[in-house]
Amino acid sequence: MTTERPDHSADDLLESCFADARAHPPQLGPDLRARILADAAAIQAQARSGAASPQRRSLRQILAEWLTPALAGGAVAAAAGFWVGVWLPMPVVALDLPLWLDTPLAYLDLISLQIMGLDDPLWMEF
Amino acid sequence: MVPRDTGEPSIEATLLAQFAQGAPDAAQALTDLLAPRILRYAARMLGDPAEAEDVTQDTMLRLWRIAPDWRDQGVSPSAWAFRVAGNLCTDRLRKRRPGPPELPDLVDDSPAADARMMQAARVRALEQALAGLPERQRQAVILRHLEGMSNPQIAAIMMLGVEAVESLTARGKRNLSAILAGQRDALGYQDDD
Repeated sequence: MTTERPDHSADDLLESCFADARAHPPQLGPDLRARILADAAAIQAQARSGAASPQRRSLRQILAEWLTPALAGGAVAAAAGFWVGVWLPMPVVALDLPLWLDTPLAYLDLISLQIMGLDDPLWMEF
Repeated sequence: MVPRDTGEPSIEATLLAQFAQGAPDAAQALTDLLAPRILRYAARMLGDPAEAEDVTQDTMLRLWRIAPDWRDQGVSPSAWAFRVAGNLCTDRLRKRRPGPPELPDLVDDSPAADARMMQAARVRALEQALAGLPERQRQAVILRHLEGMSNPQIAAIMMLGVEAVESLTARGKRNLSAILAGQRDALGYQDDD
């Protein structure tokens, strides 16, 4: 088994290259610095305009405050209308029936009597 | 120059907070503190000055954008910026067409070549040798030996353990030595034997 001797000349060369590279680094040019600072200024200006527009924000809030209950009311009314349309307890014609037939139960009685052929058991002809 | 990992907010974090509050001087101070280091790192990673400038500007732009939401989560703004720059460099390296590895230029080894020329030749040879390293080794070697960062700092940037960083750096140095070995004479280093 052989032991490898560390190659000091290779290490020295590498260290020397590192030292030279550290001594001559790429420099930040004025143009690039100016571009970076222009970006920074634009971001700051954007943030300022966002923060300094309470009027725009409050207008949005006002619209939201006004529209939300209106839309909510409309939605509830639409839902209620739909519900009434689907689940109407009796047809509209039943609304002009005699007073004693003004409940869903009475209307059910009327229908069942019609089915049984006893729609006018007292011959009252109404 | 090297970022410190202390419990207190770093000067970079303080400047970033000031920038987010609209202080114009903070942008200049942060730029002077970070941009030259990011540029050096990107230039050595990419070997292309124009691309390195783009990466530097893009990294700083991302830093400006994150400033209002910056939360100190154990990573300093400089470590964050190096991480972003490293990712941007990686993206660019992966988009490049794979080609044969570049061979170092032959260096003028005439007796008239003075020390400055030799220095420049060594810098150029190192850049070309770095370009021949696997990406992670290159990253670790640049941060350790050219940016002078500690292994824990590099570990935070590369999101690795310290031992992995040590291993990457050691392998990177070995590979660099092997690449440069053939140019010892040309770079002013005579063989001992």
